Amino acid sequence: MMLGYAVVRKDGSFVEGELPANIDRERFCIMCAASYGAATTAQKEIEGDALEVLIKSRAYSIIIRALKSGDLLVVIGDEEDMENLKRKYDDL
Amino acid sequence: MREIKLTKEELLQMKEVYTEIMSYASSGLFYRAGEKIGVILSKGVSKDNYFEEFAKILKDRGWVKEIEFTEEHVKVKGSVEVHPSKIATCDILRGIMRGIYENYYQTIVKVDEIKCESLGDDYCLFKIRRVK
Repeated sequence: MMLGYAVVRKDGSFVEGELPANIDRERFCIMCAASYGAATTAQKEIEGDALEVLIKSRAYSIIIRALKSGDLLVVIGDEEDMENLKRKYDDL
Repeated sequence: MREIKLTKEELLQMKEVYTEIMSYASSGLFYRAGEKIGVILSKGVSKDNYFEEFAKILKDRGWVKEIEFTEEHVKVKGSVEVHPSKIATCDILRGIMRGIYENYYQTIVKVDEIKCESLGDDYCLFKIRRVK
């Protein structure tokens, strides 16, 4: 079950989405953008592109991917949730 | 309180390290860092001459050369964060504004930099929005 999601600009600002009320939304979005930015830089060192950042935990995973618009889609859930939402946003 | 001095070049080099690693996301982190500075600076500043006092503090500390506060905008000339760039660069200052205005209004405030000398504008302009 998906716990929440957010569309986030690459500077970490929140665009839209639904996140759990107990999350500091602003901090969460900035840290997700920072994680994606750092992963992209690390990937460039081995001449690759970061397609997805996956942060696994026992409870929920955080998955971060770039949308066609250039914004980031952050999902607190699983790959299926990510695929469904990404399709929705990329088709807009 | 112990103080240190940083030159503009040293500050920009520090920012460059973060930007090289995290790209655009670093601006969100600088914004948060600036907010902390704004909150600290707000302590002990009287509400009577609040913005006049802040103008003096920010000029004395070298963050800006000129600054004008209004209810919805802050106009700045000579921000220390200015350097040639394709995006607005004054994220620490933007965060400082947030700390200053949130302390004043006692509510959540968002600050966007809508003009920036780094982009070739004549001055930097920050838009202040009260969220709640």
